[in-house]
Order: sequence, then C-alpha cells, then structure tokens
Amino acid sequence: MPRGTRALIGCAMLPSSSLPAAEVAVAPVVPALTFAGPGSAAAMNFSEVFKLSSLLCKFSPDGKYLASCVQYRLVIRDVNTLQILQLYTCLDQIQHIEWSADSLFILCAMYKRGLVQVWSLEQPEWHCRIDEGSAGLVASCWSPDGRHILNTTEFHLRITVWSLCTKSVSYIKYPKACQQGITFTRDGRYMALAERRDCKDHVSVFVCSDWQLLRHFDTETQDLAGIEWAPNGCVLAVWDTCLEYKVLLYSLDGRLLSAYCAYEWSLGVKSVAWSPSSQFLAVGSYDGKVVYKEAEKNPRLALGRLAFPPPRAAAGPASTTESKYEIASAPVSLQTLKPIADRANPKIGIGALAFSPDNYFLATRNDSVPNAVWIWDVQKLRLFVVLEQLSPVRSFQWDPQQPRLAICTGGGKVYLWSPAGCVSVQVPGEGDFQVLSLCWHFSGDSLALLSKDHFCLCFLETEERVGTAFGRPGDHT
Amino acid sequence: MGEWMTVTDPDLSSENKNICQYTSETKMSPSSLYSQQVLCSSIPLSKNVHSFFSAFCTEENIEQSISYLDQELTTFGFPSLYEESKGKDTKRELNIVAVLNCMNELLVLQRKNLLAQENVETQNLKLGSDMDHLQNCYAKLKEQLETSRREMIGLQERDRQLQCKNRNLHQLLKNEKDEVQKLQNIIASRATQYNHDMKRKEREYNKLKERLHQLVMNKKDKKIAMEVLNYVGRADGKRGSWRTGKTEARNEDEMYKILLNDYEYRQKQILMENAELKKVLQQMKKEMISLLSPQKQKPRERADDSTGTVISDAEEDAGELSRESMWDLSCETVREQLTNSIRKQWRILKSHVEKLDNQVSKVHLEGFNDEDVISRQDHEQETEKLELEIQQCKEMIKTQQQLLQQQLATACDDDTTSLLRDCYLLEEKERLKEEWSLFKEQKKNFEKERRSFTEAAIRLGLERKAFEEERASWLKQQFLNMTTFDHQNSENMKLFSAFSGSSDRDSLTVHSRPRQKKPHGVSNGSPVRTSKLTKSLPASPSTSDFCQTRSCASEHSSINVLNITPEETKPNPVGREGTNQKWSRASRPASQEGCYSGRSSTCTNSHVEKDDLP
Repeated sequence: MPRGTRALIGCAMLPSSSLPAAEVAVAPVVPALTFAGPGSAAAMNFSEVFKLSSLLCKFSPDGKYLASCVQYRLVIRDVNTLQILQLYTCLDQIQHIEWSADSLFILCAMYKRGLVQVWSLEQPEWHCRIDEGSAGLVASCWSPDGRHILNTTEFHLRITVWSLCTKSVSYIKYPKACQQGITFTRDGRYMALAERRDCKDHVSVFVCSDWQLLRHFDTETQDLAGIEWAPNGCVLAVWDTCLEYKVLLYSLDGRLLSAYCAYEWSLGVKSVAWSPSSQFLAVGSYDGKVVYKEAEKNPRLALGRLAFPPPRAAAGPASTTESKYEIASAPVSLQTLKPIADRANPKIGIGALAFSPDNYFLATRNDSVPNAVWIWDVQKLRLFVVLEQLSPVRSFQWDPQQPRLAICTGGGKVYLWSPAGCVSVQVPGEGDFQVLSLCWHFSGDSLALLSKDHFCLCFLETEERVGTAFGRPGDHT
Repeated sequence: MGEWMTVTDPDLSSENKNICQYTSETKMSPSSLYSQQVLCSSIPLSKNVHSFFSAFCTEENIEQSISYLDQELTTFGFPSLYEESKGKDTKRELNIVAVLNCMNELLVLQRKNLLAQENVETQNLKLGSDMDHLQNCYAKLKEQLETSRREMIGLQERDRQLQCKNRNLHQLLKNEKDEVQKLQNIIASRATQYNHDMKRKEREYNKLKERLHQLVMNKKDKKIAMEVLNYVGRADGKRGSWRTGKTEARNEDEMYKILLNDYEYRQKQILMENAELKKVLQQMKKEMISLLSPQKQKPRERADDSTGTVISDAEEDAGELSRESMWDLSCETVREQLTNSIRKQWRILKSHVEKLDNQVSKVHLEGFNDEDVISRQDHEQETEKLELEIQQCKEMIKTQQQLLQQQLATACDDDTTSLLRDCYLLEEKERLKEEWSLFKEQKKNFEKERRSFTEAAIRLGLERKAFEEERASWLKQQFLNMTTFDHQNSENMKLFSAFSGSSDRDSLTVHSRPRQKKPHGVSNGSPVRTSKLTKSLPASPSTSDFCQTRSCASEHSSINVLNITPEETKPNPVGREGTNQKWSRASRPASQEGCYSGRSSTCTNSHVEKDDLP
C-alpha cells in the first residue's frame, strides 16, 4: 500500500542560471498518489522563451531537431541543447512548415505567394523552390517518402505532385475541398484522396511509390466530409457532411465493409478517431455523444455514450495565483454554453477526440462544455474522469509514449493528466505566456508550448527514470 | 275467556307471565294445587275477576248460574256438573267433584292457552322486528339503487364526453399527421429542389473550374516551375521505375498481400480466441459436471423441484462427455450440443446456487449472527475440551513412563547388586525377571509393530506418489486432449473434482454469495464466511456433499488470496493492462465512486478483497 501520499511532480529547477526563476504551482489531485520508488519525483523544467510566429513550431520526426518560424525565417534547433543549428530565410512570411518523414528536409509554404521552399538539413546550401504561379496554393504537404510534395491549388483545381528526385510533375484532378480530403496510411504506402466528380463523391487510392492509381470508387455519401485510414492501413473510414450522420468503412480494395448511422435528421458527425489497435472507431457527433464502434463487425457497436451532464467527479483548477485541482463530488454541474441555434457551425457536439497511445483512454471535448475534458476508460467503457478548467480548452494531446494528457487553455498554465493524478504548472517567464497550443516530443520527455509569438520547451524527465513510465503507481506487496 | 284476554293490554300479559311462573311452580306439588290456584287467581286478577263474578253470580241466581255453567260446560264437552239423576223428577244435585274436576280442567286449559298465546306473541314480536328490519333494508337498497343509478348516469355522461374528446383528439391527430405529411412532402420537395440546384451549381462550378484550369494551364505560366539545386536520390536509394502494366500488377499484388496478411492476422487472432473460449467452455462444462454429479446421490425427495429432471440431465451429460471427444475436430457439429449442455449445466448450477443462497438468507433471517457466535463458542469449547483431554492423556502417559522406568531401574539394580546384597527374596527376583521378560517381549512386539507401520507408511508414500503421477498424467492427458473421456475415466473425474474441481466450486459458491454482509467480508472475512458455509450445510442433503463442501470451506480463505494474485501477476498482453489496473486503484478515491455501479459485482469484489491485502 502507499507509503504515504506524495506530490505527483516535485518542483525542480534547471541549475542553469540563464533561466528565470520558475515558480511551479503543483498540487496533486488524487489524495493517494504512489510512486514507483522513493525520490523518483518527476521534474518539470522549462527552457528559455524563444520567438515564434503563427504558431509554427515542430519537432522533427526523428526527434532530434526542432523547427520554428519567426516571420520569414526558419530556425532549426537541437532538441537537447536548443542551440540553433540552421537558419534559413524564406522569400515571405512562412505560413506552414512540415518535416519530411526522414527528417532530412523541411518545407515552408507561403500560401499568399503560391510558393513552397524546401530546405535540406544535411546540405544547407541545397534549396528548392516550387512556384505554383497563378494557380495559387492553399495546402502543401509531404508524401510519406519525403521525396514528393503535394500542393493543392486554389479552388482545389488540382493537386500537383512535385518530385525532388526527378523533374517529373504529376497532376491529380478533382480533389475535393473538404475537412480532411487526403490521408496516407501509416506505413506510407498508400494515399487516399477524396474527389468530387459529376456531383458524386469518389475516393482514389494511390500507391505512393509511383503515384499509380490503385483503386477508384464512389462512396455512398451526400457530401463527403473526411477520410481517415485505420492505423493498420487496411480500412478507410469515410464520413459524410454534418447534415447526414453517416460513417462508411471501406477496405483497401474499395469494398464497402460497413456503414453506420446513429440517427437521422439532425447534425451528424463532428469528429472521428481510430483507436491505435485499428479495431475501434470513435465517432463524436453533434448530439454530444461519442460512439465507440467496433470497426469490423457491421452493426454491432460497443458504445460509450457521453452522459450529459456527466455524473462524474470533476476537478477544476481553483484560483489563478495558486492553481490546483479540486476534486468535486459526484453531481457536478459544468459550465455549459447555450448554443446559438440560428448560427451555422454551432458550438455543440464532440469537437475533439483522441485515443491514448496505449489504447486505454479516450479524451473528448464537448464544444458546448468548452471548459471540460472528458477522459474515458475505453477498456471498461466508462467515464474515468472529467477535468474542468477555468477557461475553454484550446487543445489537448496525448503523450506518444504513455497515457498522459497535456491540456492548454490559452492561459499561462499547462495542465497534465495521468491516471495517477493531474497537475497544473505555471509557465515561467516575465511576461504573460499564454499557451495556445502544444506538441509533444515523440519520446514523451519534452513538450513544446506555443503562445502567440513565443514558444518554450518543457522537459518532463525524472532523474532516475529513463525507460520507465511516468507516475506509475508503486508495488503493492 | 280467550275473548277478554285478547282485549287486555300488555300489562295483562305480564300478569299472565306471573301466573305462568306460579303455575310452573305449582305444578310440582299437586297436593297444594288448589289453594295455590285460588291464591294466584285471586291476587293478580283480583278486581276484574271479582267484579265479573259478582256480576255473574249472586246469592239469588246460584241455581241459574249453575245450570248455565253446566249447560255451557256440557256444550264444551265437559261432564255435567250435576249428579246423574236417578229419577226424572228429582232435582239434580250439584256434583262438587265434577265441578272441581271441571275447574281443574279449565285451569289447565287456560294455562295451556296462556302458553300458546305467549309463544304466539313472541313470534309476533319477532316477526314484527324482522319486518322492520326488512323494511329498513328495503329502504336502504332502494336508496342505493337510486344513487347507483345516478352514478351510472354520471358515468355515462362522462364516458360520452370522453368519447367526444377522444374523437376530437383523433381528429386533431389526424390533422397533425396530415400536417406532418404535408411538411414532410414540402421538405422532400425542397430537398430535391435544393439538391437539384446544388447539382446545377456544382456543374456550373465544375465547368468554371475546368475553364480556369485550362486557362491556367494554357497560359504557359512560366511561373509554375520548380527550381532545384540538384535532384536528390530517392529515400530507398532505388531509381524510379517506369510505369508499366507490370508495376500495376505488382501494386495490385502487393495490395492483396497486405489485405491477406491483415485477414490472416485477424483470423489467427480469432482462432486463438476461439480456442481459448472452447477451452474455457469445455473446462467449465467438465467442472460443472463434476460439481453437480454429487447431487446425484441426493435422495429423491428433492425430485419435486427442478433438480429431479436436472439430475437426469447431469447423468446424460456425463455420458455425453465420452461422445463429445470428437468436438475438437469439427466445431460446427458439436457446437450446438456443447453450448446446449453448458447452458443446461449452467441452469442447474444457477438453481443450485440460488437454493444455497436462499438457505443462507434463511439462516440470516434466523438470527445468523447470534447463532454463529454460539456455534463458534461451541466449537472453541469443544476444542478446549479436547485439548484438555489430550493434555491429561499426555500426563498419564508420562507418569506411566516414569513408573516404568523406575521399575526398570530398580530391576537393573536388583540384577547388578544381587550378589552383593542378598536381602531380596528369591521369589521377588523371580517375579521381576518374569516381568522383565514380559517387558522385553512387549518391546519386541512394539518393535515389530513399528516396523510394520513404517513399511505401511513407505508403501503409502509410494502409493501416493504413484497416485500423484497418475493424476498428473491424467491431468496432462486431460489438457492435451480435452476430449479423451470415456466411461472408465469417470472415476478419475470424480477424484479430479474432489481435488481441483472443488476449489473452483467453492469459489463459485463464495462469489455467488450475496455481498450484503460486506462488513463481515471486509473486516474478518474468512472465518465468518466459512461459518456461513457450514451454516448452510445442514440443509444440503447428503453427507458426502457435506464433507466436500466443508473441505472447500476450509480452503476458502486461501483461495480468496489466490484469487487476487493472478490478477496482479497476470501477464499483460498489451503491456499496460496490469499497471492500468493499479492506476485505477491508486486513483480510486477520485474515480471509483464514479464508475457506473452497474458494473459487475465481481469488480467491486475484487476491490474489496484487495483491500484485505497489506
């Protein structure tokens, strides 16, 4: 049994004097917190604050570098030392950056000028500039092999596939302008693209290695809104526009595996997420429910429905000066927004869904209760906890390595939740650092916190623990 | 006389009653009849009668009145008052005896009449009251009838109104339906119109797009270009290949390969799952059979409830077991059979458990706590007593040994010092020697016995080992091919149930036990629960059953602990499950109350049991 309650995170400072004194307000929520070993408190250290524009800050896929943009400059830093490794200057203010899958290249898109510039990390003198000219540019992304760039032109006239290996250019016509019209399988082998031809929705499956059309089929949707591959790359989820509740599952070879419709006549699907095991699909809809559906078996659904208002204990950070979570007892009334009925895109329904990497938890946000994050126990199909924040949740993201959720609300704090408890941590700094967005390093050891024009890194290592998980409760014997 | 009687008032009847009383009294003494009668007639009827008589008979008209009376009496059939005249002319003499007789007769008659009259009057009264009652009843009923009639009318009115309302509502509903239909039609038409327009617009939009595309492409836009310092190699190091039919085919092949792999993987998983489930089913079935087979020995008195039929089922299934050795080969053929039998068994088990539960609850109702404590006390007393006895026995043995040794020592002394000291008698020496030899013999016997015992023990050990081996091999065989059951193994089956099956069964019963007595379960779990078990036993029918369950009960506590450990040390396939379990525990204060309490009770049970752990 617990050797006594201990704080979830001990406050430890970087010894470096260059850092401003950080005050870390920490309070454990769950009274009985146990830790694996004595003295293995997790430390939270914050880096210096760096400049940033348009929230463009990304870790490289191999986790070695950190790219950030300041106006028209692209800065590449080492993740560990945070020293600047490269500095590239683009032709205009950068609007989008993306690392290639092999972390060798990085593309910077300047939509306003219809330009894409690609930089190489290995050869700083190497450069590549793609100009879409009068066709315009609205989106740009890498193909999974890191040698092709897919540019979507204005009005979704076409997608241009530029190759960095050969001088070849391919065009894909009729891409559909929708929420999520392009998706790659996780192994990078196939790309699915939503198309619109003759007033009908189609999906084309391409082989990424040579851009050959593998399958082309029309979908039974009114107005397709998004497509998403299952993590195993064999099933494609297709969902219809919010006017129609419809989720279709297609096999890689274009066969319709199953169709799902929870109800009719009301606003339908708002968000979709595959479970990491590819076995389940969580569908968040406008009625504030999450349907947790077994993907393969047709109408049978194992569903965890979001009861509303929740019958669960909620925890909310109390005051701004000394932030802490309080455990509320069973009936909790959450602050809800009254949706404006006569406006389009009402703030209702499940706007965000995310599975934890171990497939054990599902975090959801109901847009009509913007201050709360629901965390569901997926294995037991029940609500695990509700976290109520003081202000609307801007974004949340799971640690890629363990069930640990980072939440930001646009305030000066970052919130971390794990099954062992949760903390809120004030981001140190002289000015007001409003965390608008965050992203995890793939190792789960650090976290980039982005504000409107600054960013900083938050390191979550513990001294002893290198490979072991964070906040694991101790042995019981 | 009857005439004036009818005229008289109720006060007269009361007088008559008096008379009756008197007469009834007087009846007993006929000797004093006369005087009494005079008395009685003179007292109550005093005035009337006297006046009447005075009016009727005076000094002057005695003769006439006598003759008149005579006449009257004769007409009523009484004997004449006059003596029988001897001659015609002689004047007839008044016969006093006859007069008296007549009078007596008359009095008797009157008495009779009075009685009859009284009866009639009481009857009359009764009838009158009956009549009154009936009239009342009649009136009441009439009233009731009236009210119910009114009520009926009211209800009819209401019914009519409701029907009216209903009709209106129906009409409204119909209207609404019509409205809905209309609206739906409107919506549908609008939707089609909208879709049509949308399509038109989209077509136009597409045309525009096409045009734009052409314009953009045809302009020979010099700007659309890519400037690269030098082309980089492919990520995989290979050179790009030409697109040919071959690559297309290869791509197809690859795709199908991927799909196939996925399906194979999934099939494998499903197969594994199936195998696991099958195993579980088979195991469950076996255990159920072994568990339920002791019931066969139950007396048939229980046949009235469902077990009667169920027992035969169990027998059937035991027979079936051998037949089902084929089930492993083809699932489809045996699946139904297997599931059916399992279902049957399950039902039996359920009913059995329910019965046990009922018994337990009954025991609870009978003041489970007090009795339990008493029984425990009894138990302790018993053990104490036994321990005392053992102690006593031990002491006795010790003293005996001491005595024996003393005797021996003295005997030895005798032997050694016999030469030195000749004070002992020969006889005694002889006797001691005899005893000595006797002791030696006994010792030899003991020695022999001990040897035989050790031999027996060795044999037993060997046998046990052999049995263990047999059991192990049997179990192994069991596991290897769950199917190779035949009738000759049914013996083993029972043994198996006695050894390993019993534990499961016990846990089953324990788990099924309602947990309403949680405080017991948590604080001093096992002893109370075991006693609970034993408590429930007297109702269970056969003694063998009793023994088995008892042994189970003793095992129970250890099982309780064992139940937990696998959960904790369970190999977690996902790699996180075990730890997750722990987390959920650790964060229980925050989260546990929130779990839907509808979750299976076993979950909470496990938690409760876990709390027992240090």
